[in-house]
Amino acid sequence: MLCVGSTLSRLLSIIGLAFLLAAGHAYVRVAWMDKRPIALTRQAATPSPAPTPATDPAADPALPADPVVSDDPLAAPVKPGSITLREAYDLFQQGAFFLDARYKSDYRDGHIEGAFWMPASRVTTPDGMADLQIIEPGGIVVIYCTGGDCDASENTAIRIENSGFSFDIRIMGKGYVDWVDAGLPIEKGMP
Amino acid sequence: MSARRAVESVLLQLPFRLVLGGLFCVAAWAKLHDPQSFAEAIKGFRVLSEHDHAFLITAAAFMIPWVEMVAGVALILGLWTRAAALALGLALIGFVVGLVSVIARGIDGDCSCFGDMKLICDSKVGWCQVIRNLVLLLPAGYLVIRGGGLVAIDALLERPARSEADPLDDPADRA
Repeated sequence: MLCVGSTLSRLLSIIGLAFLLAAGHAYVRVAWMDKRPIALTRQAATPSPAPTPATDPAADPALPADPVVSDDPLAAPVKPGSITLREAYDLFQQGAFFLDARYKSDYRDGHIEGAFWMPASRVTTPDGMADLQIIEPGGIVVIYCTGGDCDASENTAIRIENSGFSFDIRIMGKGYVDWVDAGLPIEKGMP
Repeated sequence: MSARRAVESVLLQLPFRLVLGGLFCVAAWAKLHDPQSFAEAIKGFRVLSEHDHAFLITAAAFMIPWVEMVAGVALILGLWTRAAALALGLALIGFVVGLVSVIARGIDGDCSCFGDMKLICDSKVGWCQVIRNLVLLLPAGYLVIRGGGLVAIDALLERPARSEADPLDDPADRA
């Protein structure tokens, strides 16, 4: 027979016990492991650099024709703190490191040429750390995800900063889909 | 009646408890191992803002897995079975609502339901997870209504009290 009163009081007891355990867990993480309990925003977000002049399409056949700079699809505005597709492409040409924060299957299907696969959950793994140690301290790192409002790139950036790396991290405001639509260099498969 | 109860306990209640409790313990362990990932998943649902409701996201990232763990262990042991199944059932309903909301808004979210592990579905939010959670609701609902059965600590705890109340009454019939 279902006794509603005792079931509800036991339910509250389960929630109460879980609350005590959760509070203890968070306390141990902060006091003993010296970690922020959870980092949801970047501690020191790199401000978006001043917009770079548009690359001359005649000099760069990889870029689409760009007769009017204000209509440049690569320079489409992005949210504050992130860089435009054109700025990302300029950094790509300068040899900046690119990190792909998407799912492994998405990365395998296609990613920006030379990009490492680096979702947030991989940052603290031995493989992820080994990949990141290739990059020089202070080096420019561009992180991207699918596009639109995806926040995987920001999550990866938070993990990298919390892991003690001192890169100049830039978040690509547009995503991989926009990069592909612009006809910019990609490659497929895992390295 | 007792024989029927015994068969039900062994064939339905015990397997349901072990499977449901075990699944939630695994899910909880995966989340507790990496609360940051689960917090990122909650943030990705876009129900709470990471700027305005950071504390709530952080609290949920620790609370939800511990509720799953406590209720999962209780279910496996058959201790407070109805309450534990109710807790997990409510959690499943909450997850279904959250998942449907993410799908409806077209957000490319990460479920993080079992951490990095895959259980039938991918980590990406999709209808697969909604269906999986709805399927898991069935044993949870069954256990809320029927209890943990005879092979449970609940049955051991209730037996002496019933024997004192009416030694001639069959405790199984009243369970």
